[in-house]
Amino acid sequence: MLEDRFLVRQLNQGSMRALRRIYEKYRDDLFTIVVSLVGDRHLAEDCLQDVFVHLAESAGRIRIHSNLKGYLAGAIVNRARDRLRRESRQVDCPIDELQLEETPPHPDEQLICDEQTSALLQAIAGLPVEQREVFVLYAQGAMSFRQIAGQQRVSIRTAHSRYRYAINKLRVLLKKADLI
Amino acid sequence: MRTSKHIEQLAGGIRFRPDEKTDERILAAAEAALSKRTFTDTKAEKMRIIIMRNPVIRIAVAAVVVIACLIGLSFWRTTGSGIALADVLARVEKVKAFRFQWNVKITGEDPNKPYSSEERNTTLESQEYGKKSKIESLDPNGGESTFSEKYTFPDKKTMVRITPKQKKYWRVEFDDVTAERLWQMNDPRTYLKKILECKYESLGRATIDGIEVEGFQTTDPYFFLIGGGIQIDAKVWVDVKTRLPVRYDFTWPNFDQMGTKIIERGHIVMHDFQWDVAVDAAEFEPVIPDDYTGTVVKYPAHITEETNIQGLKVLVELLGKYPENIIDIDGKTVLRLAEKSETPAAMRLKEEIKGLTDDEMSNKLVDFWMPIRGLGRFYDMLAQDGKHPQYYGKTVTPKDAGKVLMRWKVSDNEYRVIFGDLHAETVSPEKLAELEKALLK
Repeated sequence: MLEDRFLVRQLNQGSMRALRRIYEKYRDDLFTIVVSLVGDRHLAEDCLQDVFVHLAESAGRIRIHSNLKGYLAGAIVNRARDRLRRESRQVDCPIDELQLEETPPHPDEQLICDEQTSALLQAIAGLPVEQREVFVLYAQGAMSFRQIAGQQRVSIRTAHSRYRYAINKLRVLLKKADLI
Repeated sequence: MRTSKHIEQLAGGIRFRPDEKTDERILAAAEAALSKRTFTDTKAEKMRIIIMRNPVIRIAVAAVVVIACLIGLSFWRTTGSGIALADVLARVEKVKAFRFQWNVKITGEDPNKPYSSEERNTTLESQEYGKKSKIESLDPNGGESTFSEKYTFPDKKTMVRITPKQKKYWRVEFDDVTAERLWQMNDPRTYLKKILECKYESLGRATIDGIEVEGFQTTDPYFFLIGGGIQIDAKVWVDVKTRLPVRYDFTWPNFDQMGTKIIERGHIVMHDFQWDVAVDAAEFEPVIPDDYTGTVVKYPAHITEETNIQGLKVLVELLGKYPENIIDIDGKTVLRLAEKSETPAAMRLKEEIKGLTDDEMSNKLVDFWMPIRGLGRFYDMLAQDGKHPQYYGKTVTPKDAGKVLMRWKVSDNEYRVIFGDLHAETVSPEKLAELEKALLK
């Protein structure tokens, strides 16, 4: 937390090093979240780029009221929503039609593509947008329901409900695939 | 429920990472966006950044950061007892030399990750000769304490710090403004002036170490320079007979990023004051054994085009090529890269540091790192000043005398360019465009 506060202060003074450190520190968490949300590696990369370019453009006037990770996670969720809207993608398209499966595994990608993971990603892609966001931010982004509720501008109870609905749907889908 | 946990764990275990090319593309786009921004730091803020970047000064600054910006006293208030704090200040300022102790303790609030750090100082201060402090830093893990000595000479604008464990000393030379600020830091007079500037109240009478005292307290958030709005509680206890301070107590919380949760608390105590002590000039002469290694540092550091070229030269001799980026270059990165290098400079370096501990290595390489560390700061300074720096170490080699290795804007009509062979020229924007176009080929 202290390091983040320091990094934000440095970035507000135009430090390239602070920008790089923030990117390196949160890149993987954000990329994991956005891949799960949009189901397309290239689109996810564009979202990640948008977030960091916007962060750099805002340097000098960044005022973060939550923690830095929460701030960036919120930004990437919004960006994912905008991009999906712009690209008019069908969010519930099967995961195996997406770039995730088509991209040959890169040694650095640490892409886990076993059967269970693929099925889970496919199931996540099948969730309604709000439920998917809550599930991904909670399970993959390690955010609290309070933070998610703030991000989605709903009550904590609503965030909880969305998560419960998401888990129930995922359970049904994975059971159907005989994976749990 | 078990199934839910299983799904959560399965999802939590999925990790994706962009490939290196994507990293480069995103960082290049973000850095380009950042370099277009213009930043207007105040001089004071720039000074603070410089001070906080200095590992030596930072220790002092982190312990107690107080500004002494006090011209004229607007209050000459007396309390019920008749003691006027301004009178106390006037008496303190007449004292030629005094001795006192001060302790700084920072304690974490999280019961699951308990930690505390503590520093104990004994200081002798003379208006004539300067300031001398013996500092004991307690190991938070219960290990051995480390000791150091610090001498501050306002007239010479220098500070000397000696660390016997490392057999090392630093001599830091300051400009007028920084020297003045450092002299006022951690100084009982500064604190009195600051309390007088704030809204304060009397705490009434008490007894400390058998001395009858009267207390004064301020909780004014502007008491501290850094972290305005901090919930400071500052108290000074004054001997009712001598009208001189007996003890100071400062406590404050540090908050998390959201500003809602306290993550640690700080406590400073200044005590055991001996006012008007006799001093000898010899007490203020640092004794540095012959086998100690020394470093002279100038602050604000003199980072220029020349030091930047020097840093690039050291790197190219060591690595045989320019590093791909200079923004993040640090000692560890250079050592890692040098490990794989076969250049004569790298071979010499590897021989010199063979078998050394981290501490020994860091001592030995202090001078070596200086120009390298300046590279990132030079780039940062240019970016902060809106000079649009660009560095092309990825594609330019030391043999490329005609290719742009680094450039930045000097004015609307001029750019400064460091070429691959490290000579520098000032060129027009048109010429630069031509040179950079050639890089693409």
